[in-house]
Amino acid sequence: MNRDFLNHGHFYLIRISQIDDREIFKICLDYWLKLVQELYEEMQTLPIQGANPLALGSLQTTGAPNPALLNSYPLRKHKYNEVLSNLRVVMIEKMVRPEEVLIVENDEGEIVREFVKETDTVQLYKTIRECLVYLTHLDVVDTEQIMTEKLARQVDGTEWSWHNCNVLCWAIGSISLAMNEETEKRFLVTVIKDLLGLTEMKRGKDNKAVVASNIMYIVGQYPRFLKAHWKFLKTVVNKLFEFMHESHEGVQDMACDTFIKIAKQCKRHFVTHQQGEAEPFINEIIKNLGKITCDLTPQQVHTFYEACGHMVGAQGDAIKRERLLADLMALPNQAWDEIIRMATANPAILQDAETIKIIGNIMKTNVAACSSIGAFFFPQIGRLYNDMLQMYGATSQLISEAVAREG
Amino acid sequence: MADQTSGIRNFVVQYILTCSSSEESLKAHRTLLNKLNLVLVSVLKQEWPHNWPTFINEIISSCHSSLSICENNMIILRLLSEEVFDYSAEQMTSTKTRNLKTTMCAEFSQIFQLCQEIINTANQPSLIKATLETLLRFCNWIPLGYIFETPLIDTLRTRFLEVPEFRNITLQVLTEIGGLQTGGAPGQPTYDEQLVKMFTEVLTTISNFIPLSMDLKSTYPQSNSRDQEFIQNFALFLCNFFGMHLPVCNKHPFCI
Repeated sequence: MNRDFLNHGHFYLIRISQIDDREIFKICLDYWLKLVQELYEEMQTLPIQGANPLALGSLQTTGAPNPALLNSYPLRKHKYNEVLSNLRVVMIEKMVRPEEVLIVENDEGEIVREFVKETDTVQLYKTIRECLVYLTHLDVVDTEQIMTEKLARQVDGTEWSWHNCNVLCWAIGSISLAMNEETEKRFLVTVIKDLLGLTEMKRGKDNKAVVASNIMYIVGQYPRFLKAHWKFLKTVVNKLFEFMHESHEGVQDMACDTFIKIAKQCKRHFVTHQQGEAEPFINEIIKNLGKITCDLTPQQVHTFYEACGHMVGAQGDAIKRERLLADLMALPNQAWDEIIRMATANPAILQDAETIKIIGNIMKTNVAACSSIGAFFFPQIGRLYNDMLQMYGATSQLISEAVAREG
Repeated sequence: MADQTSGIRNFVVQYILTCSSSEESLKAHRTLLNKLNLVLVSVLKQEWPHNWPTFINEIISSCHSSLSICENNMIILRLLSEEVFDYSAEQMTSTKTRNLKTTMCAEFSQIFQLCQEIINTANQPSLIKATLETLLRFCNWIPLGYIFETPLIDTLRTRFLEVPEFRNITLQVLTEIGGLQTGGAPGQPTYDEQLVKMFTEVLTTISNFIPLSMDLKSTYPQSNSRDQEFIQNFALFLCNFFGMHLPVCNKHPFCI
C-alpha cells in the first residue's frame, strides 16, 4: 500500500483552511502562499529556448500560460493538481473586502468617509490576492472554470447570498491582469453578462444594489479591458451617472468611488476624440456636470471634481486643457463671483454662517480638482488669487475687530 | 555574606520541597509555588554553575523522593530553560548566557534521562503534562541526537498523541521537532528518514481520530475548546513541517 502522505497532509490542510476562523486560516495561508510561489517560480525557470515554437509564443506573452503547454514538462506542480484545484475554491470562498471605509466626523462636524489602509482585512486581502494570482498562473483554465461555475451557482440561486456574491466578485476582481488579454476578455464578458442577468432577475432594491455594486467593482478592477472597449467604458460611466441619482444606501458612494477609479486608470480615453463621437467624452461630462451631480452630497461632488481633474490633466494640448479647466470650474467660479460681489457691497456677509459654508465648499471643490490636475491648475488659481487675498484680509480684519470689541 | 547567600538559597529550596511534597500541598500552594520557582530561577541565574555546581544533580536526585516534587522540578527546569534560551537576550550579558548554555548542555544527558523515564513509565497526568511542557522548551536547543537517535518521537506518538488530555501538548512538541533545522552544517546528519517517518506516522495516528473525510468546517464550530485548539496545532504542525521539509518530502519514496 503506497499511501500518498504528501497529498494527505495537504488535503488535511485544505480541510482546515475551510474552517471559518481567521487566525487558523492565516496560519494556513502563509504556507499556501509559500507553496504556490515556489511552484510558480519553478514553472518560470522552464528552458524556453528549444521548446516547441508554438509553446514559445504562448509562454512569452504576458499573463498565465495555457496549462496544456506545461503538461509535458516535469514540474512539481503536476503532483499538486488536485490540491491546487481545491485550494482555488478555498481562496475564492475566503476572499475578504478589498478596502475598508470608515464613516467619521471631521473637524467641521460633517460626516465623511475615509479609506483605511493597512488594516488586518486589507492585509489579508492582499495576501489572498497574491495567492490567487499565483494559482491562476499555475492553471488559468481551472481558475476560470471554478469562477464561472461559482458564478453560475449565484445565478441559479444554489449559492446566492450577499456575502457569497460579494466574496466571489472580490475574488474575480483580484486576479485582474493575471490572465492574458484574450482570455480576460472572454472571461469578463461572461462575468458581466451573468451579473447583469442577475440584477434583472433579483427582486428588491437591496438585492439589486448588491449585484450592481459588484458589477461596478469588477469593472473598476479591469482597466485593460475598459481601455480596449470604448463603447463598453462609456456605457459603464453613463450607468455610474445614473447610479449617482439613486438614493439607496451606499449606491452613490459606490458610483463616485468607481468613477474616480476609472478616471485615474483610463483618463486619456476620456479626452481623446473617439471614433463615431461628436466630441471627447469629457466635454459632454463637464457640460452636464450640474445635472449629473445634483443629487450628490458635497463630499461626493468633490470626488467627482477630482475625477474630472484626472481627465483634464491628461489633455496634452494646452489650449484645450485650459478651456476644459475653465469649463470644469465654471459652476464654483460662478458661485465664487457672486459671493465676492455681495461681500464687496457688504463685508458683513462674511460672518454669515451660510455664506461661510458656501465659501468652504467652493474652496474644497478647488482643492479636489487641483489635487488631481496638479501644476496645470495654475490658470484657475490665478483667477481666484486676488479675490482670495482680499477675502483673507477682510476676514482677518473682522476677527481683529471682534476681538478688540469683545475682548 | 556567603553564609547569608547559602542561607537564603537553602531556605528557598526547602520551602519549595515542602510545598511540593504531596499532591494536595502542590495543588493548595500552586500560586506560592510559582513565585518560589521564579525566585529559585533568579538565584540560579546568579549562582549557577560557579557557586552551585551540584544543582542539576540535586534536582535530579530529589525527583526520586516523590512524584509531586518531580512534577514541580519539571516546572523549574522549564523555567530555567526559558530564562537561559528564550529570554536571555535582554537580561544577561552574552558571556553569561553562553556559560549557562554550555553548562546546561553539558549536564543535559541526566535531565533527558529523567524526562525519558517519566514519559516511559509515569501515569500521573499532571506529571506527564509538566514533563511534556518542559520537553517542548528543550526541543529548540538540545543536540539533535537526543530527538532523532532515541525512541522519543515514537514514545510521544504512541503513548500520548491519541490521548485527548495530552494531544495538544504532544502535537506542539512534534511541531517543534518538525520545524527543526537539520543538516545545517556540512557533515551534520539531516535525519531525513526520521523526519519523514515521524510525519507519516503522526499523520496515520491522527487519521485514527480525525479521518481525512471529516468536514472540519462544520464540525469545528461545535467542538470543545480543546479540540479546536488541536485543529490549530494540527495546522501549525503541517505548515511548519511542509514549510521546512517539503524538498525532503518531494524526493522521498514515501511521498511520490
